[in-house]
Amino acid sequence: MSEYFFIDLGNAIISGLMLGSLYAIMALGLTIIQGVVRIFNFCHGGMSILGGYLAFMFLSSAGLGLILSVILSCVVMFIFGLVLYRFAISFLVKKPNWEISSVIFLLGLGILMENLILQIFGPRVKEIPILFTDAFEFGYIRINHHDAMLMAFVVIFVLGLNLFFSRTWLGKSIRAVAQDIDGAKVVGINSNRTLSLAFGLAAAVTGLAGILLATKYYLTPQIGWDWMFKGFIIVVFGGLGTISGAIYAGLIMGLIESLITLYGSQPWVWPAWFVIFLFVLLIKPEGLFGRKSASY
Amino acid sequence: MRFELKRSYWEDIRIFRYRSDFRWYMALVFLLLVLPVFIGDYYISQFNVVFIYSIVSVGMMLLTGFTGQLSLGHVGFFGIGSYTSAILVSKGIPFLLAMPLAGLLAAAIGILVALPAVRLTGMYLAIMTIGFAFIVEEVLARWESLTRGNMGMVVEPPSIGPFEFDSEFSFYYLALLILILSLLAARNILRSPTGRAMISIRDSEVASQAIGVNLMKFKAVAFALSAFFTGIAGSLSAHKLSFISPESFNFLESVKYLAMIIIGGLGSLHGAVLGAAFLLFLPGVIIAVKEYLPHAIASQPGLEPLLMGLVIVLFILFEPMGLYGRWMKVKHYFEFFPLYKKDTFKRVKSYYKAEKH
Repeated sequence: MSEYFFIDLGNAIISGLMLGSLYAIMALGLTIIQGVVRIFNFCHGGMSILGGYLAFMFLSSAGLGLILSVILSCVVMFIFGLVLYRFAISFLVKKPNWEISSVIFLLGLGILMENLILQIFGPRVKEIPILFTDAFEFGYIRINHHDAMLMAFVVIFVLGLNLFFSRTWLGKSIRAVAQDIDGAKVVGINSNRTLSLAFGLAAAVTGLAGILLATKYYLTPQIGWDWMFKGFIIVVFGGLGTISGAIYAGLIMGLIESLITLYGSQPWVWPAWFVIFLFVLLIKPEGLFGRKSASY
Repeated sequence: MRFELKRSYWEDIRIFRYRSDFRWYMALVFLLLVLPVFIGDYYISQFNVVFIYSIVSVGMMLLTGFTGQLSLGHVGFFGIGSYTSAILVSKGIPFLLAMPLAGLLAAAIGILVALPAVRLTGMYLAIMTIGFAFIVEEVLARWESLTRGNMGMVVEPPSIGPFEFDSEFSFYYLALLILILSLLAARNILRSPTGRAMISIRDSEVASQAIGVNLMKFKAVAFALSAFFTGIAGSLSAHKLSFISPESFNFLESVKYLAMIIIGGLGSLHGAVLGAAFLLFLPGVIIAVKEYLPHAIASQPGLEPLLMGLVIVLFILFEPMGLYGRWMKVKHYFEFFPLYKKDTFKRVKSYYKAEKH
């Protein structure tokens, strides 16, 4: 118990907030799909690594700049999500056992995407280069420039997304469809088009989250599953279909992870997450920040 | 073309619907009994795996296909069954006792899982069961005094009295016997009041509550039964493979179980076996076909999971009723030959729309 205690704690809290903001953006795509289309995106992992690999491909093979390739891969992911909804999921959700079939379809798609990426890019670890390599230093507490940039980016992105959902026509119509699909139809919203745009948006956000995580960690075809389960836990913890809930939950889980790593050991992070997850499901299935009926 | 004429309730719930069914099943069993004499050890081993997974598939079918509860955590029950049986046999308890005990332990844990699960439906349930499977994997990896952790355990071959099932040939008959017993058990459960209550829960929870079905009880029963079958299969699999380690009970195995029943066709025991056979013979077919593929494709790793994903996606999109559904359609087409209607198998839309939210 000395000054080191506070230095360790400070560093842990900063890295926890950093991780948490990444987890929050990871969970955003999931929570949009859950809130609007009412299905869990079981190929979330596949989508996020697809985003990461696309950015990697644009960067290394096509030789485009970092920002341009991020934007391009988001556009490709948006189209991917749109097509996926239009040609597969919109048919599935109309069938009698739509829950089971959409889950298993998305799982199968996740496996397919993981292995297609494995075939195309190979099993080697890929990295996306980062813009800044320096760090701020306040005494003994260090913040990497890259981390600070990611956190700032996440904050700006989430604020922008909030503005999009509260101000623009499309955002409002997505919220209307999420609340009540029949009511939205009555006031003249093309529900099918809105749903597919929402799905495309969620896919783009997921791909972006994959790129951000890839800059912090690394890319392998299998890593998507880990990210997906973390996303699920955060989404359930924060309340299904609520954006703010996902963000708080992401920050909390990131803090928990870094504190457990500091005072316990790394292997206990997963069990701790799952125990928390099960308790939340048992005690408050609608999540900490969720309302009874999932809507924005 | 056959007309069904039922004169009493008992005729409605017979094990075999027609007398001819019984003869066909007997013929199939006879065929399977003499089959291993003619095929090599490799193919016998493939059949053994199919039999084991068919038992899992029957368990999954009871839960997902007949009770409508989605589970992505059955690999947890499989792992519990494997480890229980392996540990009990290594402590000197005979296999004939260890296998049912493995099933019973899995069933008991199934009830524990079902207690919270009855409050959750659909995808929440799926996610909770994923959590359960992860916890089982973690416990198996960390309880090193009992399971030897990630080093894995060597399991002895099963033996009944002095007789050891140590070859693929003898194991074939053991697995076949247990598969037939579990199919009969499942069929009998389904025609009992329990099974009918389970089916009514799948069709409509509200309606079944209205006619006095205790949802909580029958969901728990369904979980327990399903876990029991899966535990038995886990025990068989542990003794067949003779080595188990926690990482073989990962999430993708659960997806495989779900894929088996989806490919086979939800809501039919035939489908359970057909789906398991299809999915597990697929790698063998890939290996056989590989010789004819260009080298660049054939030498790629991960071709098998890729095809599994592709098969799942294509089945869901184009044949949601599975292999057994396709077989029924073909049969129907020929039975009603000139009068075949395209929409015969479509359910009435207005019926399920009310159930959706």
